[in-house]
Amino acid sequence: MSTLERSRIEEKIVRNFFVSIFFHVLVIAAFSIKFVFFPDEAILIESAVRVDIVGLPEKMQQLPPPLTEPADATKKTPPPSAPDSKPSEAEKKADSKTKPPPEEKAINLNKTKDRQKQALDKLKALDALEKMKKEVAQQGKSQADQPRPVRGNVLSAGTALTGVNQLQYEQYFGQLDIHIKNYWSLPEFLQNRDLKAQVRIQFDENGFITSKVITRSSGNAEYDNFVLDSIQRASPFPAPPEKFRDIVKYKGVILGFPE
Amino acid sequence: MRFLRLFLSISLVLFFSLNLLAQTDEPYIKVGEAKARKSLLAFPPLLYFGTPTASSQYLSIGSDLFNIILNDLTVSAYFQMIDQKAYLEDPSKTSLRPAPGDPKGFNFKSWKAINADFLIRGGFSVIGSEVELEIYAYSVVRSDLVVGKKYRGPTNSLRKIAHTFANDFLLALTGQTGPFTSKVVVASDRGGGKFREIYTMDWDGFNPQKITSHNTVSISPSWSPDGTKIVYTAFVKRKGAGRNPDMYVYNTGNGSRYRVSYRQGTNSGGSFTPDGQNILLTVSQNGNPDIYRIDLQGNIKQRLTNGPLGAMNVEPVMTKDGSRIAFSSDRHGRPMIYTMNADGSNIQRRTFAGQFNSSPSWSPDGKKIAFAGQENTHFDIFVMDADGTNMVRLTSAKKPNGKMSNNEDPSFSPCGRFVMYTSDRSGKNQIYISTIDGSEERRITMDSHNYFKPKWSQNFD
Repeated sequence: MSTLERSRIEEKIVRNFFVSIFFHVLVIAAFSIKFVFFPDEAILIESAVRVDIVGLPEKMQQLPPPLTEPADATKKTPPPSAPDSKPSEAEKKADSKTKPPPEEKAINLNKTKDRQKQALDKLKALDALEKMKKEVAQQGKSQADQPRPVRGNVLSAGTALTGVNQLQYEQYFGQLDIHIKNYWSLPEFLQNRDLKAQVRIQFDENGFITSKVITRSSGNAEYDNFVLDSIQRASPFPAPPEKFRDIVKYKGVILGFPE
Repeated sequence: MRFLRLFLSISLVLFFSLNLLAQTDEPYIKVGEAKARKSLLAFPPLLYFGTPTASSQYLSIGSDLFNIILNDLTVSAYFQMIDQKAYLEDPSKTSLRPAPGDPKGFNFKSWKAINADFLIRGGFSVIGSEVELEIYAYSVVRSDLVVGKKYRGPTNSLRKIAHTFANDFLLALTGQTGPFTSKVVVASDRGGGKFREIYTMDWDGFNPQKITSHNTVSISPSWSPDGTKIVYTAFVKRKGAGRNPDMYVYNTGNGSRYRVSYRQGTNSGGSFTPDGQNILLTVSQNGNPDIYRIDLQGNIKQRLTNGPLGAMNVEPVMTKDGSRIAFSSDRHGRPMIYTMNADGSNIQRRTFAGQFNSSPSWSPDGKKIAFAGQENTHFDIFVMDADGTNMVRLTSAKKPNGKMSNNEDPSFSPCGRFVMYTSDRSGKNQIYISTIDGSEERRITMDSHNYFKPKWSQNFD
């Protein structure tokens, strides 16, 4: 290609480029103007289906039963004692295998082989279960780091937890929530007054309170006193798992009464 | 180009370092609503400050004062009374004020020891035809005074004195006064025969006063907001014609009355607007029973409902702030509770269940509505939020013959913590009250007459 042709082609390309830019800007401008000066009406989102009470409610005969603490989830379930009985069964089957009556020898052998096989399968399954449990327990232990005090602008583990971490977080703090709810009570004359208080508590690895400070007072001294009193009566709290010890010891937990 | 690269790299560094610097939040737990418990109240009998030779008449004054205050505070559902046998200190040997300020005073320690939260010490004396009550309410927990007052008045006003102290104590404790100096207006057949006349009485059923003698059936009375007037409907005879339910306004001050609405057909379900200058009622003169607003001279100011299609619209009641009206209407088939703005616009249906929902009553703050709802066999009292959600059934009781009793015509207390209604569970229509969650129900009238459509007034000072 000659240089002339090349330059002409180049010119065309540049010109088309600018034309394209021009039309792009035009489109963007058109939409901007429409968006700014002629906005669409807001779309009203309403449920299409209205659910009504179809029957009048019953009279509540009694107060709901007081909250009880769930079974301590950190305890490991004791390994089943079945493996103990299994070897003896296998022994018995081995015994029966060694003394079959002559006429039924063939049938018995088949039966006992089946039973042996079943017993062995069960043993294998139980073994596998135990292995899995041991693995999870070890995993839990290995994840505990050396406790580091969290102070100032330090990179911390954050709460973007996933998987087992998130489960453990929710489990422990859910436990804490239920524990505190059990001790939170008010005299009737302070109820229904829209009083709200917030407290930061810190407690050690055994659950004993080391500090409780009102971060937002309700404005009513008696209400605040009942809040602090409820917290004191709730101590000691459920002991935190190792990975949360730093958080509860140095950062603390904020409790909202009622929110 | 170099500048662009530099800019990009700086912004990236800033972005990540900001992330590093970001502190994560502490765990936050919302503990939620507290479990409520009643406070323990120690209320020893009142001391008598008079000459040693106290006559039995004076002592009965003291025990009346004591029993009225005791009943009021028990009904308030805030307190549980400590048995007098549990007292460590003999109240008759100590004065009304605490030691060491008062040398003969009582000791807070002996009340703390029995876990009292509050202590009331009072004494009375009779001077001529007047009684004086000196009474102090203490917080044992804080060892200080909640409220201390002296009341003096004629002996025949001792009920009012006792009720006033109960109100003052609740006001000092909770910031909201109690309902104990309020009254009830109700239609009753206690005069005998087939007639029903209108009566007023104290909130606890005492001091019934008859205010009508039409010798006919008088029904659905209602208070004006300041308690000076009562509007009601009576089936009075017309000259030369039969009987017509006409509406009257009665003036409690001077006992006068006049007919405010006597249009042909029904003039019923009268209730005052919060400014006391207008009355809402149902008038059927123009065909349908519809809701109208009239002034105190009986002139129609506004027609608020219009059918539709021959529907009945009855029992209008307005919120205390004058914004909305609740009423009962059968426009969709069966009578249900509706609300609308005070000018009749924005009519909304609020109940959808049951066969017959009627007689709505607003709570003083306008957030809840109580009504009577029929399901299959009988009526019960329900309380719901003003938009129809969070419905709670307050009553469920059996009559002596084993059938379910009818509980009707609810009316909120001036403090909004109680609802008053009638129930025929004893065989006759008697007046009962209940806390608004249905947990504590009490019978108010203790006789064998019938009462209909009670309305609870404001406190009278």
